[in-house]
Amino acid sequence: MLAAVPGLRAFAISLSGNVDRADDLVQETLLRALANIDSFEPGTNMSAWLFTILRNLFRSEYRKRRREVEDGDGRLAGNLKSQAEQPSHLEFEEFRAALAKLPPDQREALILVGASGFSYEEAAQICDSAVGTIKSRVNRARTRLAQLLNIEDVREIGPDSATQAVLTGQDAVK
Amino acid sequence: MKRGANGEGTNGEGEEMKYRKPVVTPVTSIEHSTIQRRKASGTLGPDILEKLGKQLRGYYDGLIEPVPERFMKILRELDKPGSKGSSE
Repeated sequence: MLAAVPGLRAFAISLSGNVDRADDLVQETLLRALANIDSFEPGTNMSAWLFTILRNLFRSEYRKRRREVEDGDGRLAGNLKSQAEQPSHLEFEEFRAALAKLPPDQREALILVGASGFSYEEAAQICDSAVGTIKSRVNRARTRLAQLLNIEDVREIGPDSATQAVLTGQDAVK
Repeated sequence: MKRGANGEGTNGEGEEMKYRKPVVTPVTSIEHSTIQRRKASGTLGPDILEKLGKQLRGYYDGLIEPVPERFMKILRELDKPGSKGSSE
């Protein structure tokens, strides 16, 4: 249980974009888990159960507030520490801003599969969606992020002569 | 021949600007359109997926912090012997 909390909290921050709101979400999640512990089946995935509760709480709150990205009250996720082994603060902030532009359903699917370590099947269970829907959301999220972050794949450009010239240093086209 | 109206063979003549040109994909941008199609269909190349994956994990790892004390009391309740939560 304890081991699941840091990831749960990171998921909450990713969804809400706000550390204080995220901590409130985590606390409420843990209290609900405690109150409904009888509905948890031992041997099943405790982490997925907690993520499901938190995700449902967030969605319920989101429907009420309709503003999940920027919140003037409290700490924004961009103010978090940037450790030496982590990306630079600028990269962190750039990625956070791009992530915040994704629709909530795509953002949660991408985080669950790409960062929280859940399988597509587990993410589908947490989001109460079909596996195909989760795969589609993750794909769309990746595509949108690549556009927002201007990430390009040089190998995708293919046999373009100008690019090849730049890459190989031969017959440079001006 | 009205080829000029289709966006080909224009010589910078002012009259060409009067026509609403249909969208024509230039032959020289086949590679570019291929990338756009792949991006639109969500089939990103391996380099992009790798970069995105690294950035996403880096971002997520940056959010991982020690569990705040405010959660510890609840966690102790969940983890105490006899609780279902203590089985994991």
